[in-house]
Amino acid sequence: MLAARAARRAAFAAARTAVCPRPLSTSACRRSDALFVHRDTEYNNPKIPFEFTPENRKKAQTILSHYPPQYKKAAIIPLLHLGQEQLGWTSISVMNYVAKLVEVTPMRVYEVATFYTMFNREPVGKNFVQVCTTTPCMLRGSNEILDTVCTHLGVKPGQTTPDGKFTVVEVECQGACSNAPMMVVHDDFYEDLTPETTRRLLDAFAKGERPKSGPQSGRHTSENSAGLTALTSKPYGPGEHCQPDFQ
Amino acid sequence: MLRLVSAASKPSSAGRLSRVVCSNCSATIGRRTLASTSARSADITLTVDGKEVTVPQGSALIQACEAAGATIPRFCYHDRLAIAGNCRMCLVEVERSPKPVASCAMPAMPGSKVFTNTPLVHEAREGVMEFLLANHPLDCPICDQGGECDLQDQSMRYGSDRSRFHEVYGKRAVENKDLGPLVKTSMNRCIQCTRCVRFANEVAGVEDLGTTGRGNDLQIGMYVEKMMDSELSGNVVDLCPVGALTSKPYAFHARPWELKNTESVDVLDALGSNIRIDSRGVQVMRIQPRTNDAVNEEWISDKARYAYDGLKFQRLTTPLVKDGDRFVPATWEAALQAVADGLKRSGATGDEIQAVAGQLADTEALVALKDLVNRLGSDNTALDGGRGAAPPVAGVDVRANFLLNATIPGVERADAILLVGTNPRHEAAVLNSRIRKSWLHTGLEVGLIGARADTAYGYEYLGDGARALADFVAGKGTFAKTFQAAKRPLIIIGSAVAEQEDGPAVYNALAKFVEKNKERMLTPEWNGFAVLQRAASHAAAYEIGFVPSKHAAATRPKFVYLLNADEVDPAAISPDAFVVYQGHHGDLGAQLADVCLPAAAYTEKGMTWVNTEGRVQLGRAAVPPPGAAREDWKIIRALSEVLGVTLPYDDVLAVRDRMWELSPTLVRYDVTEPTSVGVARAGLGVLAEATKSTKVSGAPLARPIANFYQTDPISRASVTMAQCTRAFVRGEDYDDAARATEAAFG
Amino acid sequence: MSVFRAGADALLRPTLGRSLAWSSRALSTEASDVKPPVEADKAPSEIAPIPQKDVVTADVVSGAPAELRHRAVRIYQPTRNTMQSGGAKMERWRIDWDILPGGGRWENPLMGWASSADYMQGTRISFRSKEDAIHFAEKQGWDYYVQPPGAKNIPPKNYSENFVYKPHKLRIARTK
Repeated sequence: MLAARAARRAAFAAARTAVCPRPLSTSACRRSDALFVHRDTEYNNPKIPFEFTPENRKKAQTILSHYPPQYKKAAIIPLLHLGQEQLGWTSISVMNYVAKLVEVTPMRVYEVATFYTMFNREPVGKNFVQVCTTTPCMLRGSNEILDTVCTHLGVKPGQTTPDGKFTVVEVECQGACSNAPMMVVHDDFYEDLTPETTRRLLDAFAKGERPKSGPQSGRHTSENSAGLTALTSKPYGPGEHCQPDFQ
Repeated sequence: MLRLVSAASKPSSAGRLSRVVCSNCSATIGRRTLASTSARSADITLTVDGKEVTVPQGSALIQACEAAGATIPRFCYHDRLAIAGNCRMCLVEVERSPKPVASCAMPAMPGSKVFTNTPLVHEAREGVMEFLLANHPLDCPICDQGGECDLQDQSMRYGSDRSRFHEVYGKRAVENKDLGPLVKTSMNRCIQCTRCVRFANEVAGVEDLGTTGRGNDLQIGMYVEKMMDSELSGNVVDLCPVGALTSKPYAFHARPWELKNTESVDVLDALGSNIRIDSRGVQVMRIQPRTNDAVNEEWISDKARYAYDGLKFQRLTTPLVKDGDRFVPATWEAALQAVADGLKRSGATGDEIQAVAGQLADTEALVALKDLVNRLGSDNTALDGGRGAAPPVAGVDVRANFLLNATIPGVERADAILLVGTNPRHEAAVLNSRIRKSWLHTGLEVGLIGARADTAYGYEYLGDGARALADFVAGKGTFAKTFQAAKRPLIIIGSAVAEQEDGPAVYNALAKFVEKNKERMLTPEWNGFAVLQRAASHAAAYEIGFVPSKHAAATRPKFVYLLNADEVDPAAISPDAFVVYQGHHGDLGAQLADVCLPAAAYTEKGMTWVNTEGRVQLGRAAVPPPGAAREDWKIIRALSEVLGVTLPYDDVLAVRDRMWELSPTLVRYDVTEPTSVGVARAGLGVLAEATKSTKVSGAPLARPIANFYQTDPISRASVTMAQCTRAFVRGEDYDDAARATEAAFG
Repeated sequence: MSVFRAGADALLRPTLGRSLAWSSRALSTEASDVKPPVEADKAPSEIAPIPQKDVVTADVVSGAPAELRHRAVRIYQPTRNTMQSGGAKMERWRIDWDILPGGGRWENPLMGWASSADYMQGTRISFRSKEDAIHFAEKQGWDYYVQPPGAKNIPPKNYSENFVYKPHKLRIARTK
């Protein structure tokens, strides 16, 4: 899915620059197809066993306890997340295992897992880099960030580096528009990116470090980057302006 | 006196929901509501296009519109499936509603004013159609659905000749799926109505089909590579409103407008499913279901649908007389004379003359053959397979002892079902879907005694034989208690039970059990004792008494007349006996024969069939029999003349008069006639008395059908059924050659 | 030999051998004097008496071959094609003929087309109502058999049923 979107986006980009009219004769197939059909591979087939670790099993029990016993199927999404957390991605075995846990036929779990883009149904690198390219980020230069990431790592969106350390994908809005452009690595947001900070971050991840998350521009949160124009004075402390009785 | 067969026997013959349901059937309908919510007894009135219409409360708006006679285009809505509401084609305008509403997903509200024919509605539907066509390939000329395609038809009215919407890189392309040898997929054409998904999940019970992905990339499939292993899978071809799912055996063979439709009855199981035989020239091109809620709703099994190509192969087309070790074609005169000579030579007299009827024998032929054999002084009329050569355990004097007394629609009203020695999924696939429907939508509990089976619904397994039944009768186990508490308990006894070692003991126990619980199991409205036949001819054979007497069963026959009998045990026929085979396929029976008489298959004769509930239905001839083959009863009639015992009927009407003499029900078509409580009880009493001295051996009740796809000469001769056997029963690759051809078309 | 011929006759040309006395009889004449079923839930059979010959019999002057009168026609309402959901033409009643058994049709050895000796094989006539069809058949002097339409019973359906809370164990995980 992600790769497909990336490919389409790349195509759009190409179309934007070249302004080529759509030729009537070609309707090239969009090769998104393979992603919604499972093909047994060496690393992903139902014969590979998967089971929750004892801690995760306990977590799964907690999750399942949130729902009525006959509606265990409501726990499909959290359990898939748990599985993805444990394995790093959502293999067919994870889906089958979840189906068994919630007592539905596996197809019901496949439907969920293929519907949501954040379930990676193919293995991803150690650092899963998701660059936001939705409109606010794009206006703030996310294309440049994406290019930086791609050239720095030598991959295209949707691909994994040969050493298996990074996977880069484009994603839609992550809800950090006030700090655009941004990217997500692991579960942390890295905001206010510039090509330099991006490269620095990637190098840090390559070394196995976990750089500090949040705005990389020195901003604290999403305050005015040019300095505060309001609320500049020191905020008063508790009870400061109260009647003496209460001070 | 001219008698039209009762139209009033169909309680809702008018077919329109509103008028029928609200007037007199609301109680029965109320029982069958799909939801477990409160009963819907009330009716509501609303106005559709200025016309007042009354429908039961809880109906969808689309049903109200239909009841008012308005035509609502639709793709995803189907009368027999759950409502999905995803195609948006059924938009209508409702007064004081700001937007057009999808009439399938909107409940009908009392007093609302609905318009189905306004500019707003048309514009809305045109918009929907434009989106549907945006990704639909323009391949109608090479599409098998062409001519009977909902999308094609509706685009004639609502479609634009061009689209305002273009994907930069063309239309969506989706990989085709391999659903097996029956259903051909062309997923580019899919409009994602999910009818097939809902059918597979709800009706067929194969919960493997679903939708993967989302948005523009949504596709129908199983995600993993898998075939659709269901004996009802052919129905998704009917359901598909476009050409995404088409019939593989029928692919590129004919167009619907070339076909002649003949409404007939299926005989490959004992349900008597209503079918429509589509023929072109002298060939049956395909078989489609015919809607009849009293029998098969809208479904037929894959065997009924796809075994028709067996009608082209291995047919007997000319009379054959054995000369040494080979058959020599003969004229009818010579063949009939050979039979007469053979009878004389064999020296068979009295009960030594045996007639054996097979699964596909029609009622007229059974009557004629029984009359013929009786005139020759014999009572030895047997059925093939199992213990057909012995008098049946349940007797034939009372219809209730060998029929599915609860009737097929009645099965849905049961609240506890005990299956004894049967797997309805293979013996009566369409009935099985009814049990599943009831199991899904009501609190039906099912118990099973016999071989374990994948029934498409959950059941409690009680054991494999008569011992488990004894425990059940004694009230041991949770299911026995559920059954005791049920208001309409139903026991379905497989036809194979009578053929087993413990058959008499099982019948005895059940007869006593029903007698003991007669206030619930034998009432004027409900008869909970039901026998599920699996051969189309057996109910009729029992009805006319086509069973041997005790004395006859003990006789060793010297002259055997096989009427469509292909399940006979060759060892049971003595080598010096003279054997005649009359039938349509050169199957097992023909190999045993000294003379083969070619007869018509079920698509080639308009004969009477009695289904497992005792419903008498008239088939119709769609195509002429091949070569010199003739209708069965005529052959027997001609033979009777040669044998010097001329039967007193010259035309089929006279045969039916004779059938009426034997049993008047045989000429009352399309109705089931219940046995009265007193008679049914007496029948069970006789049954219990006759089987009281039997001992329980504890042998497991074996399943009669190992391979659903090949059970009779027609399906054994069918290439499609052979492919299904390979694909679904043996799990092999079913046809590489076919796949190569497909690729060429691809 | 005469026995043979008679036997073969019965076999090959059964319909032709019928005497004219049979001709105005519908298929299940004899069954009519049977008592209607005793069960209360079954309405009594619909008995249509032979009309008082108020119809003008057309067969005398129509020039149709006499054999035509020996072939019973079926009057029925064709069911909806299950391949499609449209209900057009569903209310019509149709008259058509059973095919002629025994040589009524054969495959042309030259082209493989189906040839036919049955001049009614392609004929079917549609009527607005059953009564119209019966009237027409009577006028033509044809034996007829009226096949009642199949039962239809669709329970009220509701979208909300997909989402109804079930207190017991679910028997199906619904989708789409």
